[in-house]
Amino acid sequence: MDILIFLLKVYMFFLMFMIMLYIVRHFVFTYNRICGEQRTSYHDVMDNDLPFVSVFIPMHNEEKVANYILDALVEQVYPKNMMEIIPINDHSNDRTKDILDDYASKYSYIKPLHRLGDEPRGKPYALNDALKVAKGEIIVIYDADYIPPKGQLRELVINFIDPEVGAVMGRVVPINTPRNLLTRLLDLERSGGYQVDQQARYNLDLIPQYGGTVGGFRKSLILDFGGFDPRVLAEDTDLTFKIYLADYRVVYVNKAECYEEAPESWSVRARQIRRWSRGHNQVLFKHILPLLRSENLSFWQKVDGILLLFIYMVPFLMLLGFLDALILFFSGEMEIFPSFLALSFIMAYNSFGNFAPFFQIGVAGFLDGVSQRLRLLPLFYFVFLFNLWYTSLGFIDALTDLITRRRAEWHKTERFRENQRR
Amino acid sequence: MAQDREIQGESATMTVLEVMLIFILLLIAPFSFALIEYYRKKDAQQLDINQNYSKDPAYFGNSFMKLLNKSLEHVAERKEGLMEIEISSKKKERLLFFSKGSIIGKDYGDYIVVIDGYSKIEEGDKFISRKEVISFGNLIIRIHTKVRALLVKGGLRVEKPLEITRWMHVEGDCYIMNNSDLGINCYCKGMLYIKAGCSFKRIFAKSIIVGMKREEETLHNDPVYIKGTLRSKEGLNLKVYGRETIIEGNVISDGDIIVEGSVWIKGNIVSNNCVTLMRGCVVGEYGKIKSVVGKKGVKIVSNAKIYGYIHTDGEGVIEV
Repeated sequence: MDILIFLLKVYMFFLMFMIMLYIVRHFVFTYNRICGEQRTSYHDVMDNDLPFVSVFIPMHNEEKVANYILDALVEQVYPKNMMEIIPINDHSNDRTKDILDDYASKYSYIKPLHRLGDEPRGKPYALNDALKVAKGEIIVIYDADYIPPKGQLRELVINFIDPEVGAVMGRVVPINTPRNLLTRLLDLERSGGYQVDQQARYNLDLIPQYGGTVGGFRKSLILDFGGFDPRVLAEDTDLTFKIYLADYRVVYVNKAECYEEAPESWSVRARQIRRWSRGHNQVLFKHILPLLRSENLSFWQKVDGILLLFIYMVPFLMLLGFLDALILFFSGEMEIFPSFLALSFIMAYNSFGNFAPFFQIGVAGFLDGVSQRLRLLPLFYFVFLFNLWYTSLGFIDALTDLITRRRAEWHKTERFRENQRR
Repeated sequence: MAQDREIQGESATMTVLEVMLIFILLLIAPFSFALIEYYRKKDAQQLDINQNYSKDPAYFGNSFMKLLNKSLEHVAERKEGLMEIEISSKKKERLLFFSKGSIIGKDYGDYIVVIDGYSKIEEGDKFISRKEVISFGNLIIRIHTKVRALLVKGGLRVEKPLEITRWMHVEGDCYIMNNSDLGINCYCKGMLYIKAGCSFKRIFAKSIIVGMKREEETLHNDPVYIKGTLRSKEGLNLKVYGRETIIEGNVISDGDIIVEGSVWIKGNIVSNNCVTLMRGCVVGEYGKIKSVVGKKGVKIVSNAKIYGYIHTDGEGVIEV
């Protein structure tokens, strides 16, 4: 019994230390964003020798949103003779195919790829098939619910003038913020995550993440990696680490803002975050050892990489921490390190949100010039509990995948937009 | 005694209740603000993204010209003198019209100055306007001039110091013969010749020629070719005299970049610090747009030629 109590106390100590690490990380990022030197991407460069770019839009039953993304891409100021748009119809059984064929008949540079029949469904499979037919050396990917501004392709692609750049990532902004409480909270979470977290990681030459949409990469690089790994649900995080391990880097372009549709129901959000967690933890199991052994990353890039890889595991560890605390409390052994206790609670409090703590969101709001919406911040306590549960389930899924060699199936996020056009 | 103990007990109970009440109030307080905002929705709209945004160096001049033309559509006849028109829906602006000829330099305050044809600003001590100055023809500046913005539909020749606070837009060629501040954004559709010291933030022109002649690049002495991009984390110092060096690619560094002498870079130059171009180097090619971007500063000393765009968030200096 004594050994068990000792182990439970050690676990509490470990958990507090880990939370403290993440809090320090978020503080450093937030401080850097408001007081540190800001690093620019290559969007200030004007160059009329632009490379040929292939734009992929993975689609599965996207009739509600297909028109919007295609119209936005047709409006791009990128030279049309230097681009092709490849919407990937991945086993849709709604009107998606008809919509794509209609656009293809009007615009020669829209070349739909229909994936039907027995071909396996899922984003990595779809992207791998599209890579086989793409003509561009640079690939840009948008999810079907995105609406890029007309100068965005140029802003993303220009970053590849630097031969060290393996991938580029823009900023995601929800378009349906006013819809309900969830979308308003997701809007704040996205702001903290992109405006502060991603930009600070880019400023500090750490590991800004390629997010799988509003972003691009070099085709030759991904072909060298053997394409996208269909066993991994988070193909974006997988690619981020492959890029850094191969001695390339990711550029984050805060200015390349793009609207997306955030989930409008808690059940859809739950499935989304559980899928993200499952995929991210798959990447953790896959890349943690290569990351530690790599000679291509600096010490601080490794530290950031480790913290980034473990971020979707932390909620599960915290859930265990709550259970640990309960056992210790009822066994009268809660006196662990009294002098640090108050500090530990503050640390724990600060971690609300986990992916974007309140001070990070506050600074993002300041940089975006908004104020009143920040009053919603206390409600992140409930988001934290929500994320804690579904992220933990995602971790358990990933662990089960690893142990049983189970293959994950791709589930798309439900769309909510009312199709008002065409 | 018993009564005292009862009073003490009551007081202790009160204290515990008070503390609990304060605790609950403090616990609820932040949520109350959140709930107020949730129901009142004072700030519930999505963040604004300009869906029409694309990088355009002529943006300032073109959008101002669009507004002005729209306003002037309603003017039956342009007469020399003062006129009040609505430039935007927000407020009325006072325009001062001049027909072509000689413009007297003085303080025009908050008037937008519109010059209808080929003109010279040449009399008086100083020409000042806290608003935009628009010339529909060629313009020659022969006295010290300080304006918020300058839009010239023809060519421009600057013979005395010119100070621009915001932007400058020239649709013909532009000659700057005296020390000038080119403001935050300088756009020249034709060629921009600079033969004196200047400060700037962003310059765009078909070709930006500093202290050199107009002729196109000619190769002498069996040049050295470097194909591909030069990339360095620490900084780059390309100093070449004698045999010419042609770099067919970009030059990129996280540190300073110094290019001096007979170097022709056909791509872009990008630094997260400062860029210095000296004594005869060329960036870009005729008919193409290439960029020189130095985040903390760009310095051009004596002769240099850039086809396209120069950008800095720091200090841009041209020393001839």
